[in-house]
Amino acid sequence: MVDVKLENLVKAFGSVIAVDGVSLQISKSEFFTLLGPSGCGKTTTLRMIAGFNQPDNGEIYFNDRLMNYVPPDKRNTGMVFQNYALWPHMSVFKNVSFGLEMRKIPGQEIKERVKAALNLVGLGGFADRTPDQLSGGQQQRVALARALVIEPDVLLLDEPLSNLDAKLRVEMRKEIKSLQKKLAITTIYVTHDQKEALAVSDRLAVMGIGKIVQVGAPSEIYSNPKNRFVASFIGLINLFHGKVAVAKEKEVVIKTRMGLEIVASALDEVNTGMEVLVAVRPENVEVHRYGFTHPQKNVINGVIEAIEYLGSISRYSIKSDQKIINADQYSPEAEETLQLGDKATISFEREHISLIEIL
Amino acid sequence: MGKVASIKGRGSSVLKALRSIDRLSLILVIASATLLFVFIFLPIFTIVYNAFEEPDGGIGLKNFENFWTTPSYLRGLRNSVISAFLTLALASAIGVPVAFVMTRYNFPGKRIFTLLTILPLMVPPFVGALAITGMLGRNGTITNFLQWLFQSLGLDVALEGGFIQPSIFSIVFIQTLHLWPLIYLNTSASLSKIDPTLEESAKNLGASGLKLFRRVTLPLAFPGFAAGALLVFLWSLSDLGTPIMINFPEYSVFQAFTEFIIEGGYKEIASVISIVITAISALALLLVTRYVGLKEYAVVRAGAAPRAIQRKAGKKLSVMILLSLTILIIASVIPHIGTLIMAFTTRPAYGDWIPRGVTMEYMIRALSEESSSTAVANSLTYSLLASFFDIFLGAAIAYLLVRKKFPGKSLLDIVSMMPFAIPGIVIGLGYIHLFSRPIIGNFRLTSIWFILVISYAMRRLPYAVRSAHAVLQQVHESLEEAASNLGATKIKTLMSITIPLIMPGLVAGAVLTFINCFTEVSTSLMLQPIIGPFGFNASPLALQIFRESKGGPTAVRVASCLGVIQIIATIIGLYITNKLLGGKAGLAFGG
Ligand SMILES: Nc1ncnc2c1ncn2[C@@H]1O[C@H](COP(=O)(O)OP(=O)(O)OP(=O)(O)O)[C@@H](O)[C@H]1O
Ligand SMILES: [Mg+2]
Repeated sequence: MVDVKLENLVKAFGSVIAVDGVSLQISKSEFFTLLGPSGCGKTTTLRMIAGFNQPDNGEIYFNDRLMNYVPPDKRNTGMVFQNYALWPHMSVFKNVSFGLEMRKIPGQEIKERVKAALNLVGLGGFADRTPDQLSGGQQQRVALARALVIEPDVLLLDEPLSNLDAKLRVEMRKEIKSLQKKLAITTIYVTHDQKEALAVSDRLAVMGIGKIVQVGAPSEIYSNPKNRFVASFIGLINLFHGKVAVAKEKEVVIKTRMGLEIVASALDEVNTGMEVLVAVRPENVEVHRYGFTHPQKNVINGVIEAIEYLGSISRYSIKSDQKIINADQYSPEAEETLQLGDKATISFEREHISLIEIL
Repeated sequence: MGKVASIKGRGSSVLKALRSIDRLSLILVIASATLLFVFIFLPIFTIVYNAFEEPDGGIGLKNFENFWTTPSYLRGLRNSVISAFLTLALASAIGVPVAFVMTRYNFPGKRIFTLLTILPLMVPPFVGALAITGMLGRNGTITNFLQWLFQSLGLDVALEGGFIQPSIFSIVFIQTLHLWPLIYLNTSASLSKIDPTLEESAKNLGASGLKLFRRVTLPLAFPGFAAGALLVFLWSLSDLGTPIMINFPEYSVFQAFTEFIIEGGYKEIASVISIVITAISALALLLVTRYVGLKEYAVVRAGAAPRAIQRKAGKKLSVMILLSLTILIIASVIPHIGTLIMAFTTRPAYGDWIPRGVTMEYMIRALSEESSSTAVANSLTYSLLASFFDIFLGAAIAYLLVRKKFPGKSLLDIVSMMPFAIPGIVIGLGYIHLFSRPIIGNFRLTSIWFILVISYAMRRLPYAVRSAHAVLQQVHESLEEAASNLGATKIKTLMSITIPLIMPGLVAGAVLTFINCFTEVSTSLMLQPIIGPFGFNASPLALQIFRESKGGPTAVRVASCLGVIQIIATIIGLYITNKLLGGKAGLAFGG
């Protein structure tokens, strides 16, 4: 197993700076995700790790070994391409055995290892097919088997699920994750789907244009987004713009632009007068009948503008002073009593608030 | 940080590009650049130089002056240009309507006509010209038939000289019969690529009829037409076979040929004429490529099912369409019928038109006479080697152009496409000038047959590059990267991934190259090496056909039999190509 260290990587294509000073430390056996919007430089970063793009600046280390000048075929990474890149002129078996042949493994061992790899991804009986006789999900598994069979030091996955339908995507990401845990391979996964990223990663890095914006465990990033970009990218969130009015030891009072007072549990580094965004996840907002009060919670009054049924939950949009606040509710009782256009009161706990400093 | 890096990067970009190119690519660049330089650039340069060499030694414009002041050369140029334009006009007048009808209407018998429309391309023009003369010329089958018909009707018309006189019009007629499918195929390729919804949305916005045609359909169909038109124009302008066959000397390319070939001819004027013709070709090429990407068009997809909306033609329209197409096809198969009649029937008495019987006599003679059987073997050898050579060079150049970045890339692109606009006669002339100097004792490169292989390969290189370019673009780069990621070296990736994937396309391209070389006329007539692969006869088929066609009446028939061999090879080749490309053959035709 190796750990991967990127130091200040820079890559430009002509005048476009695709990757602009990316530094990351990825530990042994970690499932690490690069998450970011289209065109932010995820693929370019991954390709530099695989050796297909030469960085203009910065270093890549596997276990403290400088990799910049090692050609791609000597890096022992296993990459799963976005379009799978299965070779149409070879059978599934040949596709998977290719990497082993390159490593001059004896024929008998190749047979065994290919068989094991295909079984691992649940394609035991498919060895003799050609790629065009497989479904999208099966192709993806072949690509995965092909990358895994060489026992790579690092597994690189570039949006491997983006060509699959929603249901298959969820299944496959579970499979990838459990395989990775079983084999304990250091894995770098690229996606622009935040749900996928939060679901599979040990840690993830959110990328803006060419730059890393925040690195952390999914729960950390989800509950504590560092800035508005991360917050809005990582999922639907309610944001209130305000100023810190009181910063005490245990609690912080923020006065929003609309004149609301919101009380949050004290976090470090908050000073009076600081401009902040108050962020609250919809699932942490409760909807009550109009007039609800609670001494420990923040409450806001408004009118129900919309109710969306999203399967197990209902999403309420409550308008208060021109601002829409989203609340996801599981309780069916609220649905019975509250109707579209009714006045209502929402509440959320102090602990559920994260404060994002505006710079 | 990023800014600093990018500025630094730009400053040394050439150096960096040179360093970043891998060793394999570097070898390929150097090898292909050397070949192109020696076998394309240098010969042309030599001709240009020769054009300025004055007869009394020294350098000057004397030869050009002579060209501009000699009426026969000017008439030759005028005839060449006029006939190229006339052929273009006539071929368009046939090809464009056929393209519209074929892509827009459904009518009974359409499938058969789709097949029949590529018939004209199956007869090499040289052979076609011979056959047309045999049919419509003096004492030709059709001429004599009509004469007989008129006589029986009591009409007093004398068709003494036949219809094929040494004139521009005969040239235009012969060329048009052969070339109109190029316009048809290219135009319909582009017409069938038009998304029907484009026309529908224009209709939806109120455009109709003529307006729709002018504002939407025409602009969209133009690129394909332009590519086809360019092929026809260049082809006609550089055609040597037709004027030679009908004996029409006041034609630029023919004049250059004659002056150069005959003992004591004005050799420098041949270079001047070559330059003038090349300049016109290059101008046409530039003009068209400014508006149309030749790599995208000028590749003809024969038999590709048009996707455009097709209306069912009404009864009256169907009858009209069928009638015109039938007339067109009948006219277009004159060369085929003529070749068959001349090759396989006994010559009737002078003035008679009914063949005296079927015979294999001429074919047996063609195959048993040593000079002609050697010519067949020679041409097979040359064409095989040339297409083999082109597979590798074409694939290497296309690979560099599609996949690599390196300094001088656009130059490589341009030079490898140059033969497209260079008449065969110019290549022939250049090779003679450049390679006919004695090397050791009396030995010259032009004495040995291999010079023909090289000239064929170089002439057809643009087509090889283009077809390799097309197949390479269909192979996604990630397929190669996947191999390299799994531990394959550059060479290994090339051998086990890239080449197997592009092979069918490359072979299909090579088969077409083979056909074109097998029927190649101009360089075959220009370069006449002495030492062949099978003894002291290096004549390729075209030269042998030419010689026989200038012989007696029986020799002409033997020439036709050699033509039949060319036709059979062409048909087999087209069949293989279609099989390889699964019915969507990307056929590249042209001069
Ligand atoms: N080979 C290249 N030549 C020029 N520009 C490139 C090249 N590859 C990437 N870029 C540019 O670099 C930037 C980053 O591209 P990259 O492919 O890394 O984005 P990405 O984050 O993977 O996006 P996506 O989610 O759409 O795949 C983009 O602006 C892209 O246009
Ligand atoms: Mg990408």
